Amino acid sequence: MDGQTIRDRIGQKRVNYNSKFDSLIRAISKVGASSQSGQFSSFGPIYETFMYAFIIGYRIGISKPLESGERTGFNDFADFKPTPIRDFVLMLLLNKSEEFGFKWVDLENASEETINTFVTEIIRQMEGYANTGFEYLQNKWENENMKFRNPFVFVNFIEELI
Amino acid sequence: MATTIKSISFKNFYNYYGNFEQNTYRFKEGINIVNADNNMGKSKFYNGILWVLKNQVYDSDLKQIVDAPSSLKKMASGKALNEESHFEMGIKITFTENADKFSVSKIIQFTKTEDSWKTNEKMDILQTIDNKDIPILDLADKDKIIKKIIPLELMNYALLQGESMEKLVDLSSHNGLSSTIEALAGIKNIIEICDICKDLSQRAKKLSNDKEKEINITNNRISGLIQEREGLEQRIDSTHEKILIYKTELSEATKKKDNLEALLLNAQNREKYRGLKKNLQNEIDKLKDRKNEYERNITSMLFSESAPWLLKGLEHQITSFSNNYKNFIIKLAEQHTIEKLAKDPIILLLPPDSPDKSSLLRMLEREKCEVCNRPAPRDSEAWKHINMVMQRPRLTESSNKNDFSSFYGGIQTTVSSFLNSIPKISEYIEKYRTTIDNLEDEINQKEEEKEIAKLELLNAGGSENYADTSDRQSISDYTLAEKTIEKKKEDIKKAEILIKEWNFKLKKNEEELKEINANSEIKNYRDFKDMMYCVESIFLNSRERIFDEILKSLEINANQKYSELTQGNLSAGGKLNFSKQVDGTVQVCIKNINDGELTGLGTGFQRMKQLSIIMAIISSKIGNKRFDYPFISDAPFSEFGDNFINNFFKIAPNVFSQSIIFIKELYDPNSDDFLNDLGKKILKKMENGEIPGTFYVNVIEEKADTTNLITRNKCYKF
Repeated sequence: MDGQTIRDRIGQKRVNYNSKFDSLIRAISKVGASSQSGQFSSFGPIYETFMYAFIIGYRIGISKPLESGERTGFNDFADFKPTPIRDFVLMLLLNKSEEFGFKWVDLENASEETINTFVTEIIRQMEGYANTGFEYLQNKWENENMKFRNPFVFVNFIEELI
Repeated sequence: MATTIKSISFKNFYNYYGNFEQNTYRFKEGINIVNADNNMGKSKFYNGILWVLKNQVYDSDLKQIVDAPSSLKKMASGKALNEESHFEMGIKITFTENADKFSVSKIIQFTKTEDSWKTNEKMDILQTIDNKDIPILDLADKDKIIKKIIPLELMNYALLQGESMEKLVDLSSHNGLSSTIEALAGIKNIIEICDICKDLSQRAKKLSNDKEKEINITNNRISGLIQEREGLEQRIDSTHEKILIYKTELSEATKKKDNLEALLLNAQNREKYRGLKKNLQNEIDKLKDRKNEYERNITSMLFSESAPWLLKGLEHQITSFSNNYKNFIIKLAEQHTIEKLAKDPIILLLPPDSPDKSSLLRMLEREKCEVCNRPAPRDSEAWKHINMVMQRPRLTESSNKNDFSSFYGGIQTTVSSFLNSIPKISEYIEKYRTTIDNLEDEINQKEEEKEIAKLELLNAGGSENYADTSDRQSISDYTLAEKTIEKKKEDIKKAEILIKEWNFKLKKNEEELKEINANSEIKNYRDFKDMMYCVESIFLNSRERIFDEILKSLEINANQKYSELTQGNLSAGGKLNFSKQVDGTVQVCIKNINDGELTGLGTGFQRMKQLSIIMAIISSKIGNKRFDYPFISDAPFSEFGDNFINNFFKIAPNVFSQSIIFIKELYDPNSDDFLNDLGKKILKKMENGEIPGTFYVNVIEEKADTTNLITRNKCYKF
């Protein structure tokens, strides 16, 4: 299998978030007609919100993969934009691949089945970090809601974790 | 000297947070200045005095005077309301009246209940006699003592707010002026006698007429004359009543015209500030749009392709990835090398393309090794070795199942573009924040300018809610008021002519009756009626004469003050002319040297005119009585230039034995002592003793919103 094929396999995977964060995601994303823009700073499409939550979770350093039954799919990974940031997300996960049991060099000789497991795990870990990020944001939403009135809220949260 | 306020203290009153000791102003005779910027407690101070004297306050939200009990919570310090569950709010005024000393404390106790505040008012008044404080308990006595500070009839002139000065000097109101002049002259008794005489005269007339009728009931000629007389008298009385109505209507129209005149005088200013306010609002809207646009873009900056803020501080991850990739290549190379070495260790040790394929082909063709420079004949061992080297497999060729190096390499190529931009993200965010902060500052600056324009608009008699057409409406109302005045004057004139004619007929009727009916009993009744009429006329004339004399005295006095106040101005201010109107009111206009009416003078001159009249009224000395009370004014100089202000400070101590002035025209927030040049000059004059009095500056200790604002005072001169 070559580089393009594995990239495509990862890109074709459906990405999920934890259904319990549905209202939070709708509140901070411009989702169709229920846009909350104007009242506070908000994201565009859900994948932006997801990538933001992923970065928050990644900075916290804990991945909490989703359990079955709590998953809401929204986009294939290939739909995430812009591409350089999507690649950055992938890079961050590849930097941790050994931690979740995959050495790059071993993958060179791995079977098709192993590669598929690896691809699945990449997405699972991505969802896990985003899950941690969403938990963090949910906590802020419930306990420090006034912070969301500040247009710099999402920058501030990132700076809090540096 | 009648009354001098010695001190005024506040307790948790508006932004005068804290106890009486922390918020005390000690005053003395002369000019007492409280210099403060906007929202630093000038009008609140004034409100304290208004509360004690009239149980009213000026509600700046409603822009009108309201009854204090409806505004108690607004009057309490926001900080006290926020931080305490039980506290007192109040004011204490100490003053002397000749040798007597008094202290008036008005206090509201606030107690927080579940969802509101419970209030309880108390008023303590003490009189100090022989160094002993005697509490005054009787309510009527308390009321009398409060009126000693400023009597009710002079309150309109001694307690002023600059912005409403035009309306306060109410010479066009018959009642307002009458009560003032009556108070100045002490002619209350004469007025009462006039009323009694009028009543007696009417009774005497009725008695005489009834008697005459009774005696001559059988004489047709006399009865006819009496009937005619009754008809005439009835018509005269009803026409007198009509004249009274016309006069009231005239008075109202004149008052309306005067009010509109003051408004029209400022129409130009209003237009200027209305336009300025509108332009500033446009600028503010544009700035707000720009700021909103910047704020809306913050989340898109998180995902910017060139420098995504989302990745701030993650540059080390690119380095880690790069190292991982390098290690991967090395490990991969090592792995391949080990495999190949197992097959042909020596050949594989040669670096790839060294020697290159073309050199090796040449060596085979020439049958000579160019490395060791020895011959290599075709098919010899040496020739075969050269051939084998040329045919050796390439190291990079892998025997693995997968090849993901292009996957990692592709990611590395994409993310390496962030290596330079991520370290600069902090700087970009800071610049972005600064841009928004600057826009916010600019908006605040424009809002302040707009607020000033709004105040100027209000000072010029405008209203925030009025549309631009309101000035046109004022002009139309003014024309209507003028027409009404003319009509009513004519009505009065016509009615007076009629009365004159009827009086003439009545006189002839009376003479005829006297001739025909010379009965001695009737004569006595008639004499009594005539005598009572004479007495009534004597008192009425006396009252008129006194009124006219006082008016003349006021005119002289007001002109003297006006001339002193306008001294040094390049533009001549003219001369004040007091003229009594048909309805008994007084019109004051400014005349030029040719006795023509001087129009087009600015608001400063108009206010100076009013101030001169106030000065004349308050400082009038009529007979043996001198009316001397504290003159208290909030923002009297908002339309005055430096020259007017200087003149005021020069002459005021000679006019008012005590004045308390709340002013912002001497304030400079950027100066260490909060004084501008004029403020410094006036303070110096006070320190030199050229101007007697005290000088206070209000300061805000900490910038806060209106709710938590705390005003403190600095005493520069006592």
